[in-house]
Amino acid sequence: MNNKKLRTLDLNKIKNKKSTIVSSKEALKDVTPIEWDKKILSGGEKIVVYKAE
Amino acid sequence: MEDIVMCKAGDIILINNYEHNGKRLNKHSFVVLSDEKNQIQGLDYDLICNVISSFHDEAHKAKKLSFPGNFPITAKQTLVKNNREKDGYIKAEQLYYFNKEKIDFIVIGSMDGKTFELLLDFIEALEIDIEQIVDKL
Repeated sequence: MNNKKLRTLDLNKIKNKKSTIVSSKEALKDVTPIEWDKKILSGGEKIVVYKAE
Repeated sequence: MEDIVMCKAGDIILINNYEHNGKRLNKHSFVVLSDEKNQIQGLDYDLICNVISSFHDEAHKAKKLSFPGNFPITAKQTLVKNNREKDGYIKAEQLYYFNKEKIDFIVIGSMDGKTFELLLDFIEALEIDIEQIVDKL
């Protein structure tokens, strides 16, 4: 397991972008949650997320 | 007082059903982009996240991956020998701001380190409008 502390989002690079405030209801309206296995939900197993090719 | 679950940048969290003034986050998964404390619009937060979504079918996948703000991902379970995978995408142009004290969540895994670097680079280079979601604060 990699415990190295990762860099975080650089807000200085975000603050100059045009942004709008939206509600969570609006933001999530077309998001379909991933359905995880019971072992993941129970904490018995973990996932690792990679960039898909 | 309930213990606050610890998490850090790169973690994948699952927010359980949460209702407040009729707004509900229905077990959505998020990747933690930052765990630094700050304020937005005068409200305290200590997490900034992107939401993770799945695909309905191949046509939906092609449509979603044609949008410049979507970052394609695949999630692998760490212990399953057949290495089952789930494909999805991250809505990188949406930044969700949370206060850990106000959400009920578990840590279900993490993003691969190199992938996380790519995601941060992707977000920081976006040329489309950013959407900020702060109504859970």
